[in-house]
Amino acid sequence: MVFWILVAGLVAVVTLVITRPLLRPAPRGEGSEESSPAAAADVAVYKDQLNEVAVDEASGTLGAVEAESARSEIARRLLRSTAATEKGGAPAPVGRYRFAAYASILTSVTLPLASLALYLHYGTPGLPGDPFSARIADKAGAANPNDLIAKVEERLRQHPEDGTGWSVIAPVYYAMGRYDDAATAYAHALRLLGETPERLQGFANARIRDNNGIIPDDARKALHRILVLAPDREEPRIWLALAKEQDGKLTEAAADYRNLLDKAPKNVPWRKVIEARLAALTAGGDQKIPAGSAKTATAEASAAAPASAPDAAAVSAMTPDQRQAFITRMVDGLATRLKTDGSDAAGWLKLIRAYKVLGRHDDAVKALSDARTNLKGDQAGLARVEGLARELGLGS
Amino acid sequence: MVVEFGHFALILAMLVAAVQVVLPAAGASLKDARMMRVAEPAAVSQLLLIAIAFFALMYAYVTSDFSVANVAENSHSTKPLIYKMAGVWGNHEGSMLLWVLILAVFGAAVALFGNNLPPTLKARVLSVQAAIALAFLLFSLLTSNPFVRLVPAPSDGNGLNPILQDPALAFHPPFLYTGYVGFSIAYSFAIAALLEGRIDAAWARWVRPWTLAAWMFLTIGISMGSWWAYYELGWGGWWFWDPVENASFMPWLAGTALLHSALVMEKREALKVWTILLAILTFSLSLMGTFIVRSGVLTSVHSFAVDPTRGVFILAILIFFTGGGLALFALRAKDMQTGGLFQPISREGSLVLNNLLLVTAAATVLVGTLYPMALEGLTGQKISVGPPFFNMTFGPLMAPLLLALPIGPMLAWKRGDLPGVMQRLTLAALAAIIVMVAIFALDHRGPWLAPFGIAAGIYVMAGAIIEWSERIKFGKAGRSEVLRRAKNLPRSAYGTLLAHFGIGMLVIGIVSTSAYREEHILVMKPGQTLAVGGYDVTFTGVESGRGPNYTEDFADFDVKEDGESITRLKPSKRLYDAPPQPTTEAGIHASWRGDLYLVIGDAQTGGGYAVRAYFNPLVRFIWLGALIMFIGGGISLSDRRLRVGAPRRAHGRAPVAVPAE
Repeated sequence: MVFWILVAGLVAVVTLVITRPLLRPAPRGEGSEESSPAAAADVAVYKDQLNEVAVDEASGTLGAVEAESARSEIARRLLRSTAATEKGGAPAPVGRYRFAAYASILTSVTLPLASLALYLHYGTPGLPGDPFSARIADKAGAANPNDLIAKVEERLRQHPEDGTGWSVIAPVYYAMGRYDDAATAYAHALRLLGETPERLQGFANARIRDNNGIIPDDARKALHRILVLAPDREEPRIWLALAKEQDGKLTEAAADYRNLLDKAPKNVPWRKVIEARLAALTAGGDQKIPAGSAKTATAEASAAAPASAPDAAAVSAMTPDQRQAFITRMVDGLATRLKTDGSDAAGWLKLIRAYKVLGRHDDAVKALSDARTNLKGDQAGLARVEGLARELGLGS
Repeated sequence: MVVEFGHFALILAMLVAAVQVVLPAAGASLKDARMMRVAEPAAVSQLLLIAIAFFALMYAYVTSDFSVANVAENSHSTKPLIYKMAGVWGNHEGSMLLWVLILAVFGAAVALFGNNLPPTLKARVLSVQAAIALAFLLFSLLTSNPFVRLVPAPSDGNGLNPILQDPALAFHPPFLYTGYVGFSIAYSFAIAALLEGRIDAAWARWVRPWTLAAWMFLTIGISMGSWWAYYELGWGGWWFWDPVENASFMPWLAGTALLHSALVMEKREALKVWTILLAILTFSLSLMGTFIVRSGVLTSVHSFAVDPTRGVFILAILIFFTGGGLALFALRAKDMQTGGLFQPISREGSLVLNNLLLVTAAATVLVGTLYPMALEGLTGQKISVGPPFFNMTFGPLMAPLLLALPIGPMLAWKRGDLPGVMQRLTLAALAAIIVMVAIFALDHRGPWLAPFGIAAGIYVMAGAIIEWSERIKFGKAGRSEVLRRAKNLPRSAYGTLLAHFGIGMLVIGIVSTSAYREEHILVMKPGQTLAVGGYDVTFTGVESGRGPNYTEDFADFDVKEDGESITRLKPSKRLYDAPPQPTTEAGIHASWRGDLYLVIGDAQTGGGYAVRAYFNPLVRFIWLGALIMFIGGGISLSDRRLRVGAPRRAHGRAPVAVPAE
């Protein structure tokens, strides 16, 4: 409403200002009565020039002779100008009532109507402004996902060391298909919060998707790291087998696929995909697999794998609280297992690191001493545990 | 709401411009004073309305209102405030809005200060001015509307091209546009005079100050653009003869010619018809510049977006105003009075020579710019005429111009004494020859033409000073007389002195940089030292940092002169967040001898970095010369004889058609 009042005011003022000269009586006697205003203007110019010459002469900038020649020059021009206008005989302009009246009516009708019509056609009346600052200040409540993301991004720009922020936004980017951003966010989270199988898997998935299914080196490294932290995971193994296939190491890939199928329960959803890959590999013998089929396989695998293991994608999609609970459950499970069988060096490593990452420092120290007792006979394992202790700063 | 109000104001401004085209022109033909008078309030309202639109758009930029498509496409929430404001014209739509805003400022200035213009002339001038505004407002609304909205608004914008994220963005385009658009006044006056069928004395009074103002801003605008390219593009070059640069250079050449012919017209009432033609041509070249840059016929940092409908629209505007102007000229020019007579050897004669050379130079640049484009358009064949063409053609045209430059101001009006003048310039020629011989003796590296070029610059500078010292009778009269003369000398004479002196500096800067530049491209490892231009530059390493909206890797160089560390240079490579685009920031150390210019490239295997190091001798003379020319123009403009737009006082504030001061 305020908008339309302002618009109406603007049109009214502009129309009035423009048409005002048309409504006033025609000016009379502009310039001198007998000559045209053009000639009058010329005369005024030349008079000014004569004055200027006088001033210059007085100040000494102009010599007497030069001043005289300047004056005669100006006089010549003056004569020429008046002669020309007298010949042309242009009369002084006068007002003709009708034209001005028509013009004023036409203008005052056209300006408001045309401006309104054009505005309604081109403009977007009633659409409020949407300044960024106001949006950021908005409470999260009804905001749309894009705004929430913008808000987190804004925060991360100001606090790039906020690991939680990165770990929250990473799966969101992934879900939106912004794989490059997702990989970067996972990388930040890994650097700031430490490694977890979930983050590593998330990173690997994002990198693989970003590469259209081709598994890049950094993704492979991440997958290998997962197997160090969680050796019983299947998803990284599937990817690594696929990586071997992509490298052309077909026999090794086939062996890995067989291994996976042997170990896996009968009803896992990815079984069919792997069987198909294996069939393709063995049927073709040592022939090369067509690139297209490898690509579809990748896509299928990436679609199937997250469904199989609740871990990666599912965990990524959890809220931080849920994820925390999930991780705690896993860690506690691992602790129980190590109590019964303390000879698993990798398990101890994982447990200590997990405690440290979860901020349970005391538990980590206790797990460290437990590991030392349990791994007495395993020199290699003990060395690794000691290495980790140094790395994490758990002291002796 | 603010944005929508701006949109409405822009539409209303277009309609007001239409009224301003029709009524005053009709009034002038029908001899109806009331209709003619509509021009003044219309011009002022048009300015206010466009200003509302402009500031509404700026508001949208500053508040990052991404519901405005133009803001979403060209801004980003993290952009520093200065680039949010300057970013308004860092894109096609916004820059066109700035264009019409400046056009409206000039129109309103004529309306407000043109009290001493004959009413019909004033009405016609404002009508033509409004026609130009109308064309560009229509162009804005139909093909490049800055107020198009987006629903729903994106969460953030695309950001501004990082090359444009530089303080120069705040100044270069407004100055350049003021220059371009300023010539529209000369054009409007020329067309109005042709419509009137006569050239009033006031016409002559008006055209020079407006041309001078436009010329000043174009000079500084172009030189800022050159400086910007120099430090931002990372190649150490300051002029590339690329079509965008030529687009601004052509109106400058024609405008310089116009400035000098307007001088003859003002002082001697001669060359009237020629001045009208030049005014039409100069503005046409400005429009052509706009066409080349804005139509998308070439891609560059200036063209922003390519849209064929825009190109066709601007081409139509260009054809209408150039073709219409020239057709009117062909019809009416023979009826115009020609002015005073003069002999070939005279001040007028020298200015005619100046005009001939400058116009030929502009034509040369025009051919060199358009020919490759036309060839590509017709045959699809891509050729580049490039610097060799311009050096071969442009240089020889400038040589006689520079030789004649100090002579012209010393010649008397109407009939001059050439041998006498040459005698008085002996000292300048002597100084030039000494410098030339010295350079030949000291240095055998550069091209043999270079010492001649530097000598020409010295000669022009010395000539400007000699002319001034003669006018104040330096060395001939007593001290008090000299001081009195120096004080009373019209400011326009100081303007001439500075402008011509600036040209001399510019020439010296151009020649030294082009001929004696030192260039090294190499891989440097930390700890390594390079000798360049008399400096020892030690590369100490590369560090990372973060700016408001970019990350950067900056190298650290320790610069030593005669074994003493004088400065540390930190050239960097930046990667902007949005859009993610890299830029190079050169590290420059300026001294009176020249610029040390360092650029850091990519990391190489083995721990080294690609480094480009230049020494550009006397390169600052180029921009310093242009700055002095700008200041000279300003001083000349402030001369009361030229400040004719100001309301008249009891005693004359008019220009004097005086042959000699």
